[in-house]
Amino acid sequence: MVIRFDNVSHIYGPGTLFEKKALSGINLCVEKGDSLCICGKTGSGKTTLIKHINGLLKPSSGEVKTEGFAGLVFQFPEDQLFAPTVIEDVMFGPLNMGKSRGEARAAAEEALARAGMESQFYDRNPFTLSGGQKRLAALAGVLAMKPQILVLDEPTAGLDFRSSASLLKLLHHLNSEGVTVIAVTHEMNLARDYFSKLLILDSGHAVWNGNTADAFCAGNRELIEHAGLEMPQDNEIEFLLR
Amino acid sequence: MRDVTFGRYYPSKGPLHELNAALKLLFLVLYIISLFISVSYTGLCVCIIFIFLCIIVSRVPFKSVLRSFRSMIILAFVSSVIVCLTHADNGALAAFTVFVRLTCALCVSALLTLTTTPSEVADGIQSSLSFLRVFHIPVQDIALSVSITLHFIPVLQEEAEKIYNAQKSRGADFSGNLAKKASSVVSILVPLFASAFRRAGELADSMESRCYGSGPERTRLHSAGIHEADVLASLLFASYFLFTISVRLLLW
Repeated sequence: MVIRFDNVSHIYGPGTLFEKKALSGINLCVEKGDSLCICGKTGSGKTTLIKHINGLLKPSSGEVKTEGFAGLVFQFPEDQLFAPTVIEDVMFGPLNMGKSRGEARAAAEEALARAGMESQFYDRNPFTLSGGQKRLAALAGVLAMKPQILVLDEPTAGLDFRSSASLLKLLHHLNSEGVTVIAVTHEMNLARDYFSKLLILDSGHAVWNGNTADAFCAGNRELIEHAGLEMPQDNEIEFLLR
Repeated sequence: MRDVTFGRYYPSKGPLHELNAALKLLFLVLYIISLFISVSYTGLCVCIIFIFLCIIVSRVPFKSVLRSFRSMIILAFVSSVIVCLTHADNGALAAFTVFVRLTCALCVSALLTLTTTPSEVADGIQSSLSFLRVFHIPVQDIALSVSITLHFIPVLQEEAEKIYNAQKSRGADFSGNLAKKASSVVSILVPLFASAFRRAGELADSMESRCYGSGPERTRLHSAGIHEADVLASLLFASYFLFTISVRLLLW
């Protein structure tokens, strides 16, 4: 077991007028090599939940345990690029982990290659890249730290079809190498096609926590729609045909 | 970083929230003047008591008011120490004066932004400075710049927090040695500036595409007006102001 949530609740700004309960009583077990998708509409607590995985947030009550290093790729990660060159930006993480410059460079080159960026991009200024390339560079910045758990917040948001397909292929590849992959999305087709486990959040409560394959039966239709999501297209067509 | 609440509205719906923003701005200026009129312990204590009463009435928690200028208190403290050391006679009073003036001025400005939304502040500036239009001063543009600035403080703060989280997840060290800390701070500042410029550009484009500023004078959705509460507040404030003047004149 690499991640374990025990009755986790999180309250923002307790005791103020801005107080908001973002998570209530979440129980979650993720095994090594799992691929988990977290779904829910805007404001359902998805991002709050993943911030607990690497300790950016501490639960207000309950307990979170993780094993190994968890790399977090935030929504629109291209906004975090800062170094004068792509390679230096990707080296930022490994260097922070205490690697030497040589080791960091090697890790960065490997990560960029995995993300599908060729060596001609290494010395480019990240601000001159296209949106899709920026996102790959930012993803490489996390991959270079060799995370055992990779958590992504809306990885395909704003990407064109081809870029998101290659990104998902990369995630699938990493997963088959034993990396635990967790992604946040509200696209149910994506959840069904690429992830074996599914967690659906509705106003901070886990309303579905189990295998993706079992989630999209007709009996769960109401639950999914109540959570502000829609059934994947194929399942919806099947339902309508009946 | 998340503790920077200066310029953030606190919607506790107290009586100060309801007052006319132009009046509140006037009170702010007069209060600061009263701080400078007062030169004795008695006078300064009157100012302190007044601002305390205002905070209680506003229903904004003391914690929020204090938090919004916590970092500046150090500045006030340091300057009062310097004043104390450089004044040969009566250094204690001089230091007290500097400290009270700075913290109370910060406090009252914090209270204004905590009880007044940015657009009310902008409207208040516009209506209280509108007489300057006689001298061809672009009051409306000034008010708009102020309003945009105030609007953007929480937006940029949120953005900074997002980038902070992302870099922290990449192992950025904000507490280690100076060299590491510096590179971590750069990793926040560069993307933050990039996004601020991008946002400014987008805002300018969208305003221009709506023909902002090229037509006749703009009207308002909510006009402020003067209500009973405003009259009452003015009377109370006027009595406070006269009181500080009389303390100065009678007690020196």
